[in-house]
This record gives sequence, structure tokens and C-alpha cells, in this order.
Amino acid sequence: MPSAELRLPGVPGARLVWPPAKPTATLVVLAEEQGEPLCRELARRCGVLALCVPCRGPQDGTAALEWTADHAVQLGAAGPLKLTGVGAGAGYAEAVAARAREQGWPAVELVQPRADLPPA
Amino acid sequence: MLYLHGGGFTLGSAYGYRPLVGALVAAAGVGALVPDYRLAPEHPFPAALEDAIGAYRWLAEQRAGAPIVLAGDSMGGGLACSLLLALRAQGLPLPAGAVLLCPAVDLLDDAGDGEQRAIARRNAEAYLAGHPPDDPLVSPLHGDFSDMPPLLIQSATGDFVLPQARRLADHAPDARLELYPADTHVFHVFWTFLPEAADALGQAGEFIRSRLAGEAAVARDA
Repeated sequence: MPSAELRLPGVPGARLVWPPAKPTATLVVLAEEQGEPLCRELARRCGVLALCVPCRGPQDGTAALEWTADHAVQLGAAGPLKLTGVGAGAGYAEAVAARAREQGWPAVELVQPRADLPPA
Repeated sequence: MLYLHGGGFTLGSAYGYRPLVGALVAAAGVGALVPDYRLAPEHPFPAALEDAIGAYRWLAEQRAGAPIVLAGDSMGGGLACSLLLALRAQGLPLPAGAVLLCPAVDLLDDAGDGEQRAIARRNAEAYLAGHPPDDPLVSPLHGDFSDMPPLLIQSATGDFVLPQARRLADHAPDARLELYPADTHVFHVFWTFLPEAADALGQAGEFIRSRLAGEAAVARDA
């Protein structure tokens, strides 16, 4: 599955993983550090365009989410924008989603992280 | 390094590429040879590839076996890939790596829209002059990249040939794809004022440095 290092200014180490077919949604995953294996699984099993963001706080998450909302179409994405987090990233994801709701943009669905993935 | 300029096989010159290649040379800390390969429609395939092979062989001779890295932008990136395939087919020594800036590697792909697509089509027709577009020597995406040296592919999120770069990264076993948040094809040319372009050239320079250092160490140990 193709993946790329996304060189977003101010958000070092972000990685993008494309699903095998046309993406059904775009999922931003806030992880403490190496979340790429998880993103590869999510792209493969759920068919989402997964953006893995090594998040040091809500600011990184907000920057990545807002950039993605503006540019997902350029990356071949269709469907809704979703957000989740693992580890400390789960808390950041809640804060980032709350902030997006407050400002009224971007429209994002917060997905609760789960230990089990849907069956392959 | 051997730098193959872009321009759809119909435009571009060594002279015009001095600012961009100069910046890449500064970032990599090595010199560059930029051949004025023959252009279509006056000189269709295989003129550009023959000139690229000639330039590579000349440079290899001058460098007496010291490692060489290929670089190229847009169709020049595609030409660098064609050169890799041609060198391997001819049993010639391969370069230590290749840096591909927003490469166009598939003439079968009808990329872009409106005027952009019309220009790309016209260029492809001029270069092919009846040659089959699925020949890996003109559309290297359809070639075999197993056992090829490492590739660094840089593309922009708004580049109309990003899908080709992505497919090449997926197709070549030893390829790394870097994606920059920029809205144009070959955004690197804006390195003087676009931070993303300066970042990209810095990364490309580091890749070239490490490839040349790695190959020199292998040669020393042998």
C-alpha cells in the first residue's frame, strides 16, 4: 500500500497511507509517536485514507486536521472527515474535535478508539 | 550528479535550469552535469534517452568509477527512470540512487485537465512520434524496478501527476515518497521564497549526500 511522508510545516513526522481502492473517508489518527502500523491496518481494513500524526498536543492535531480538511480532495479522498487518537492522542483528539465544533469548522466525526479492529 | 531537466521532452535547457540545479548542488554539496539533451518534435524518442545515456557514460568515465546520483524533475524524472532501465538492460553500472522531483513516469496516464492535459498530450505525441506509449523506456512506470538503487520521490499535494509518483513509489521496492503541501507541479523552482520548496531541496540534498557516502564506503570496503 502506498504511503508517504507528509512534510507539513510545524507538524514533523506525519505520514499518509492510501487504501487499496478509492478512499471511503479520511481518517486523521493522533498518536504519541509511531502510529504508522495502525494507520496501515486501518487503511487496508476500513478503506480510509489515513493520516498518522505524531501529536505532541492539541495544537499539532488541530493544524493537521485543518490542513486535511482543506486538502483531502487533492489526495484523492472522498467521504467524511474523521478523527481518532491512540494513547495520549485519544485525549488530544477529543480536545481537537471540541475546538472544531466550537469554531464551526471543519466538520469532523470523532471516532472513539477501540482495541479491536473490524474483521479483515 | 547527472541532472535531467523537465519540460515534456519539448522544452527546457541546461541554461534555464541553472537556478534550480544550482540550489540542489548547494544542498547536496556535489557538482551536477546538466545535459542539453535533444528535444521533440525535431528529435523524438529515442533521442533524449540516447543523449542521457551518453551523458551518463561520459560522466562515469570522468569520475573513474566514483558513484553518481541521478536527478530530474517532471519528465526529466521520467527520463531518469528510463535511463535506469536502459543502463540495466545494457549491463552498465547503475548509479547510487535517483532523486525524482514531481516525476511524470507514464505517458499512458491522461493526467491533468483542460489546457494542462492538452499540452501533456501534445508533448507526448511529439516525443513518441508513433512509438508505443507502453514501452517502459518511455513510460518507466511499466518497467521492472526490482534491484534498482534507492529512489527518493518528492511530489506536491497539488501536483497533477501526483498519482503517477504514488504509483511509482508503490511499484519500486526501494522508493521513498515525500509529499509536500504545495499547489503546483515542480514547486521546487520556487525555493527562493517557498519554505516547502527549500525544505524539499534540503531533503534531496541530504539523500544525495548519503547515497554517495554509502556507495563510496562500499567501494572502499571491496
